[in-house]
Amino acid sequence: MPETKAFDLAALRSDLKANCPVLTKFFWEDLAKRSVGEKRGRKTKELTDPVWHSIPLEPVEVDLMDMPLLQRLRRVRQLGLAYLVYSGAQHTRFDHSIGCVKAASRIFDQLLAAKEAAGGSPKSEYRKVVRLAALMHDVGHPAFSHVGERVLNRIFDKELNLLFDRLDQHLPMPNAYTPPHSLKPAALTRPRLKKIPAAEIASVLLVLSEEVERLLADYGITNDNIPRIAAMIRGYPWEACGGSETVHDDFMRSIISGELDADKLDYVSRDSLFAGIPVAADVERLINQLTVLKVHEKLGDKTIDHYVLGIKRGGVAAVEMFVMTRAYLHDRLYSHPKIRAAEQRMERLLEQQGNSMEKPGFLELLYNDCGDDAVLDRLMRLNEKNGKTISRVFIKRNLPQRALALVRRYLAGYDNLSARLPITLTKAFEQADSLVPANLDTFNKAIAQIAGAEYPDDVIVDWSKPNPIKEDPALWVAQFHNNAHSKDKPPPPISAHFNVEQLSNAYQDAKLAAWVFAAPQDREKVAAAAALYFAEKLNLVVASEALDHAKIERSIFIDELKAARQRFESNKDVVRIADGLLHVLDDRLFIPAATFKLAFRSLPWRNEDVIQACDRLSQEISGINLPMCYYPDAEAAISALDLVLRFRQGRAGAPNPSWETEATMQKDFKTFVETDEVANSEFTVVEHAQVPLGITDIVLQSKSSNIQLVIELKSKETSLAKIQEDYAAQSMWYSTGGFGRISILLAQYRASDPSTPDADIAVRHNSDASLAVIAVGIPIPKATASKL
Amino acid sequence: MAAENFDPFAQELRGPELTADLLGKLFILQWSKRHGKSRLPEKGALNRLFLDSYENAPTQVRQLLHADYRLQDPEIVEITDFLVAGQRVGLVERPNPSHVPCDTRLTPYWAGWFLDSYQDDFREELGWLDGVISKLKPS
Repeated sequence: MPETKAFDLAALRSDLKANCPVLTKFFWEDLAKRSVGEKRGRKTKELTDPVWHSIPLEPVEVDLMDMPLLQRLRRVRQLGLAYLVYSGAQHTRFDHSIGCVKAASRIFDQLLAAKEAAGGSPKSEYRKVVRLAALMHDVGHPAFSHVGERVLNRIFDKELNLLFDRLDQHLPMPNAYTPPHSLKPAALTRPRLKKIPAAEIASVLLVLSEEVERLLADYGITNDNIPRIAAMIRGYPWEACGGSETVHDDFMRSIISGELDADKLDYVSRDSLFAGIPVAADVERLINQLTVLKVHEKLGDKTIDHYVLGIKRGGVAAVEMFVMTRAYLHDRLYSHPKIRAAEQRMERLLEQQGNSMEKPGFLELLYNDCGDDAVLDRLMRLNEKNGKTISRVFIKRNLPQRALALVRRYLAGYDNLSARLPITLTKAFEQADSLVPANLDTFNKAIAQIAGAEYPDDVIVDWSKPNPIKEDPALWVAQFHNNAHSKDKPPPPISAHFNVEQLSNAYQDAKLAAWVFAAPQDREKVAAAAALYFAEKLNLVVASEALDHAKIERSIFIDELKAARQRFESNKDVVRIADGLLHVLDDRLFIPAATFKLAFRSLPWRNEDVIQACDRLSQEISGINLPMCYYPDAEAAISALDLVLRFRQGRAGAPNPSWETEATMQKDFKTFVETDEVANSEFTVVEHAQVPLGITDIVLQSKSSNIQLVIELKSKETSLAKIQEDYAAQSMWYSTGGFGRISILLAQYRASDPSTPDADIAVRHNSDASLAVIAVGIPIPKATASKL
Repeated sequence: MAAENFDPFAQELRGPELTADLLGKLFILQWSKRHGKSRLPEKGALNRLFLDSYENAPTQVRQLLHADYRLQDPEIVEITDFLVAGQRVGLVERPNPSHVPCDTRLTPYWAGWFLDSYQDDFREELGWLDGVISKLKPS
């Protein structure tokens, strides 16, 4: 074993005990004490395994394996509740841990031989450390694997964060290799991870326990290797790598923590095998094609040899296949909607239980020696309500089911040809993407209440997203003719061939859906309630494909939507949204009122006036007899309305507005658009544009779409109503023949009385309501107008 | 359910939390506000930009970012999240592979409207991002 400077484990334990008393007490004084016994002097053993066929174990590994520390994992299923869907997915964290030992050994041996071939001196003494890290990397997994872990994360959030920080301060190895070029920015060397990995921290705590230290010492493994094992489990390279001032074994970190690490190689193979999902990953070839590349660096008068993870040219396809397989398994297995529903329901049960009992007792529950099923059994006995829920949901397998799919491509207005949502709907989706995860409890509760669900706790909004596959992984491609690499001329990264990680992320994105789940009895009413709530709160309007994807019968959905509308008929906003959803299901244009706020955002109007105007415009525009695919026309009209209203504000809001001829108005308007930074970024102006049926005053060409919009300008010494009556048809007439179906009539008129801004905006339709015009008036007081 | 006693529609939503996803979207929106529909710099340039600007970043941003250490430079791991988040919600379009450029979709007009929703919650972060972006031009 590598000899390193003595590590003060006692000081580390004392600090952690003082700062994180609950978790350290449980993992060190309870779990480690009862799970790790005395050395039993075991012999080597060879296990049979369906993935790796034969796995030889060293005496210390056999001893550890037979202790409750690892035996508990025989009863913790690797895939949590996936067996409720894939009945074969009964394999356990124990199987996976043993498999990782083999995978880590295979990679280590392959890379060590490659390092020797690259001119480096192999250091085989790290083999034991790598194998022990692989064996113990999951010992901190609670019952139900990641389901239990997510609950731990929520309930022990503060203490886990503290533990994470304290471990950061204690664990760096004093004599590990520190790359000189990575010192800036120094703060980035110890960043906060976005999710504190509870199970990983628990594994590290168990590795750092006195009992594990004693057992390893009995096998001649000194305690300075313990933080090295911990560092490998945490995926921190420097502590794990060893090396010296002039040799940097960068490839070492890839064995336990990297895009092709032992963990991933085993779980991809094992999960697909047990779930019965045939995959194309060729792990055998992948390992055989791994190599180590030497990269020379000159740093002042010092030279450093970096040994980095590489892949031979013949293995590039195997890497690509492996990455795609991971993405495929996410779709078929890890993010399967039924599995997600079961997991979310169990998480809610566990969280409710965790919040209702003492924390040590809850830890004892999740880390009981008998695993997943014992937790189910204890939950049933702990309280009657839980017992009934478990019996109904898990024992009789009435899992929550899909009620609504929330995917970009299933939203009303999505254009299949361009694979895009219109921009205002993109904003709605983008907002939902930020807001829903921060408000899950509110969404769950509100939707259950709107629906009047029989089983409100089964209503689950699942907006979880898998972490994207890391693009541009630290993997270089070996070159046949050139093995002399330097830092200035590094080998080509694998992403230069084809960025399969980017493709996999795109694949996941295309496949992934956010869902609303509900008890089978509640599905349709929850679907209606969720559609209503998402539309009202976030302007997300689902199309009928969102129902199809969730296998919801459209006619029943419509009935439930009407019923919800009736229950909330005193709320005018809800009624309007419900009517809009019904409109959309009939493939008719509907623009939520909130979208019209865009047009008023720069005006000094009172909020109540804006809301009133938006409501009215939403109703009037939604009265157009057009299908939803004309949404971009309406969107262009709303952004043009923003422009026109700002122009109007400049004219009508002036202290003494002067009367202008149509020609002057036109010139002013063009100047306004061309000189206004905001307006100019969105539209170009064409004056006296030839349209199929004549020459119109102005055509605005959107820079965001191919929509062209007609604007007719009028300056008449008469009332606005008279101008609308006389000229609305003309604007609409010009709009036929490829122009946006909603045009704008901007009219300067004689105002005999002060008018409200809202009264200056009106919508007119043609006879069959296939065209509309938004008429905007610029009032000029009578006194001023009469001067002409 | 007694709808008349409780109005679930009246529930106020909490503002979003700053995540790597959201920071990525804000970066793309702020970029679009300045440069409109354009080509983002290649990943290496983005990486260097964030590394160079790290020390002056707001606390929340510094806590989010972490690095993978490479031969050439540290690499900000979240660059993947930035682009994937933007791609997922439709703010950028990304051909493959990654050395092929990545195009933003919004004009400054629309980007400004998107950003209106975040001005109150993330004023400091948006100010920092704007400073970061001012150092680069579309590729």
